[in-house]
Amino acid sequence: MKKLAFLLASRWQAAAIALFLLWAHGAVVGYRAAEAPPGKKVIRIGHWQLEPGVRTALDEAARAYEKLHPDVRIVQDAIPEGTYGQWITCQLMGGTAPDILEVGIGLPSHVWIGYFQRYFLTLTPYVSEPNPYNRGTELEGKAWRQTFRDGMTGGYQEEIQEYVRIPLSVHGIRIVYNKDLLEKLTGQREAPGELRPWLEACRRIAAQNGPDGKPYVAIASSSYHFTRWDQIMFSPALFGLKGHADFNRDATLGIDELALGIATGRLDLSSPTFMSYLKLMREVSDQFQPGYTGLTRDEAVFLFSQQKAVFILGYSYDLGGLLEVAKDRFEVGVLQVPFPQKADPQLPGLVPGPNHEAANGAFPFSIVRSSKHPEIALDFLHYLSSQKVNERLNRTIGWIPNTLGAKMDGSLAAYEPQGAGIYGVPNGLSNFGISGDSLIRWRQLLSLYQIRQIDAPDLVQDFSAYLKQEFHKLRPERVANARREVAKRDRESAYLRGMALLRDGSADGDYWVRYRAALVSREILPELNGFVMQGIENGSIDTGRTPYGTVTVPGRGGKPAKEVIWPEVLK
Amino acid sequence: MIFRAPLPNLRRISGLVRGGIVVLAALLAGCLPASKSRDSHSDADVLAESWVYFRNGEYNKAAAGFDEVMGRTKQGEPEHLQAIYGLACTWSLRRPGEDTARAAGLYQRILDEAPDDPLASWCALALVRQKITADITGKLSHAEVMELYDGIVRRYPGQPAALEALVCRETARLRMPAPEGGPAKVVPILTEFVQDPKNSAWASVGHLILASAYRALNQPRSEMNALIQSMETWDKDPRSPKKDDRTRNYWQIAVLADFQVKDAETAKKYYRKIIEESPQDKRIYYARIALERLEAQGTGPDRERDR
Repeated sequence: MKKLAFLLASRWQAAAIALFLLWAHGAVVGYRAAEAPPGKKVIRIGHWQLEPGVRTALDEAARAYEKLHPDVRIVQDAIPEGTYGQWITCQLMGGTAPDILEVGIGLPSHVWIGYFQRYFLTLTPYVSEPNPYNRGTELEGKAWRQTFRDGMTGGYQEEIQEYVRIPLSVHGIRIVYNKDLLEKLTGQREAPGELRPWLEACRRIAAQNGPDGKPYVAIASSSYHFTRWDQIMFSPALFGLKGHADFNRDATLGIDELALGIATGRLDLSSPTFMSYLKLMREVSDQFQPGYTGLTRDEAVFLFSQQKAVFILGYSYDLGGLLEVAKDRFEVGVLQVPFPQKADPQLPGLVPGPNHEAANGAFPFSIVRSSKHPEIALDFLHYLSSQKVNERLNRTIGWIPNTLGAKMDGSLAAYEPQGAGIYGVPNGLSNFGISGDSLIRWRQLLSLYQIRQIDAPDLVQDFSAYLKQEFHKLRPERVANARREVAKRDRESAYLRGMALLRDGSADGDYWVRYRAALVSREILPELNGFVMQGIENGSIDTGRTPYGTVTVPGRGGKPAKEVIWPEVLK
Repeated sequence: MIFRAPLPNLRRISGLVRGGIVVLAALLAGCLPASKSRDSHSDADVLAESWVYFRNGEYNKAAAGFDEVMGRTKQGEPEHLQAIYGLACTWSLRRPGEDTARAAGLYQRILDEAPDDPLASWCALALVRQKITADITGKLSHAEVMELYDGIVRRYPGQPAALEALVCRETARLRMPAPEGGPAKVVPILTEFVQDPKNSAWASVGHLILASAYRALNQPRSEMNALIQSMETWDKDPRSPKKDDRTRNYWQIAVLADFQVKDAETAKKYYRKIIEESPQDKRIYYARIALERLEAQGTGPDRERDR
């Protein structure tokens, strides 16, 4: 009897599970059918933009595209940013990825390069052809890549010498502020655009208490924001060091060049320029809320939205959200980062000037190799990047269009890239490190400096001594890393050589040209750079006073001519 | 008792599994004609497809493709050699799962079977590269590296692989001490190399190495001229967005001319090129200021024309 009861019970359980599975299957099939009616070709587009504007804009573009192509159905998959890397990896490896994917976050860059090779279509064959959806505009007949503000450089992957992405927007960064609160606390409705008056306004804000009795915060910040401040405001203060340490004379100050300069004594971290870098960092970060180093981006935005802080750093893609937060509560202003435009006696050695800003393509999409309809996916990207559609798409989202001639929303005018100016160390100095150990050392010291546990002279003395002692010991590690890179580069070049041997009759053939270009950029140039750096390290290459040399400039006002170095000569 | 109950269900499931296997087998059988249709591909198509698999990191498929062509072509046929070469590259360079010994055997096979084929020189170079890239800790001296490349240069004079080997040999020679090496030794060798029209495809690289040698020898005018020559002999990849982006080279020439050679005309020419050809480049701001300074000094061509 017991056995019978158990069997019945177990069958009921089995039946319940079977019913559940049947229902789940039905639900999935029903959902899919609703998304993809029978007879329609479905193109799925995956991205991590959960902001309502992006989904709405893509949806509008999709519906408009479907009207032009009634046999096509476009479906969006919006995935949270935090899990995008894992999600995309599972989808690509499982062969279930959407046809079109937004690319670039959640995974290290070398993994993305591998994925571009393995899972995505190269778009190179199409970029020199016109975009058919630009017909009737001034872009008609132009090669697709020539219709982008960034010349589609944001879509090109140097390592594999192929176009792999279509960037649909351009992003910029500015200081966003609460105009009402600024006026209430400082009497000024517009934020000062010069450094000193702006810092003064910040100090006045921080000196006053809010309704809760706690002091107002001038700048809402976080660990996320700090690295951005470093890139756009602090690190450009190092521009003057280029004259001392740009050993390969490419006008860019690399971390390796800085380290070599310090280790060989050619660069003094206690020089006015470096001390001004640290001083500017301290002066600005003193206006951040206490404990910002342990906070996330969202916590800073929360502080701003609560009207407890006046300023916050915001990308153009943040502006829509910040305007939404401020809606019916306070007016928002946008300010360019107030880098000194003329010599500042409190920041000696700092080269004044506007910040360099170029249009860099963003919001990039690639076509997945496993797409059942790659030709439709490509056509949809043509559509999204055409002048009128790109304008509409970005206007709805609240971003800057990347297609030439596509107009941006008026609220974004302040984000228009400013063009020529000075610039800092690539990616700022937050990640100063020529090895794992030096990176940890630098971050430890910088963290202590950020929270005022040490001062600039302590930081400089400690790190200079460390680098002078360790730089030469780090050489084997650096050599081994470089050699590992050679093996990797060999693999990347082998394809081009293999195809050249198979397809190209002469040395002028397309694959041979690309092969030699790849060989030079990946192998010969790094070797030659290494040769120069080693020569400077061991003294066999004489850099004189500076890697650039000096130039005589005529004296002004009866003063004698003098020898000066770059960049002082350019002032 | 509790554990026995599911057994009858399992039997039913295994029946389902058996059924599934039958269906799967039928499906696979259906796929067979599709795989046979590959015969319609030419050998060259399969080889190209295999190289694409290689680039995509799908090494098993690449190896299978090269294997297939190897199997159906005759010894000595160009496609046969191409297939062996592709397979050798795959086993040598795939990560993970590399088998460098097997790769070396395949390279050697081409060297033995077709020593006069152009592929032989590339195989010899590949064997040299295997030794160099395996040396992660830097046990090989620059002299040994140079000697390895020199072997290819001597064995296959004038062939593309030998030209590449020569360029690599001279790059290694730069770091060697005198009298066998060093910049002073590199200069006459590469000067002769870049002047030979037969080496035109590699002339730009040759000039680039010469520029580094002149820098080490503290001869800024020669360095500047070598950089200019390197740029003028550069073969562009017409599809690259950076094909016209020589801004880095323009900057190097301009500051060298401006600060060290004191050749204002050349400096102005290259500062201008930066401004005109790369309006988005970060160097443009100071190129403009430098140009203004030089023009204010009154040696510009405009002023000369005015005279």
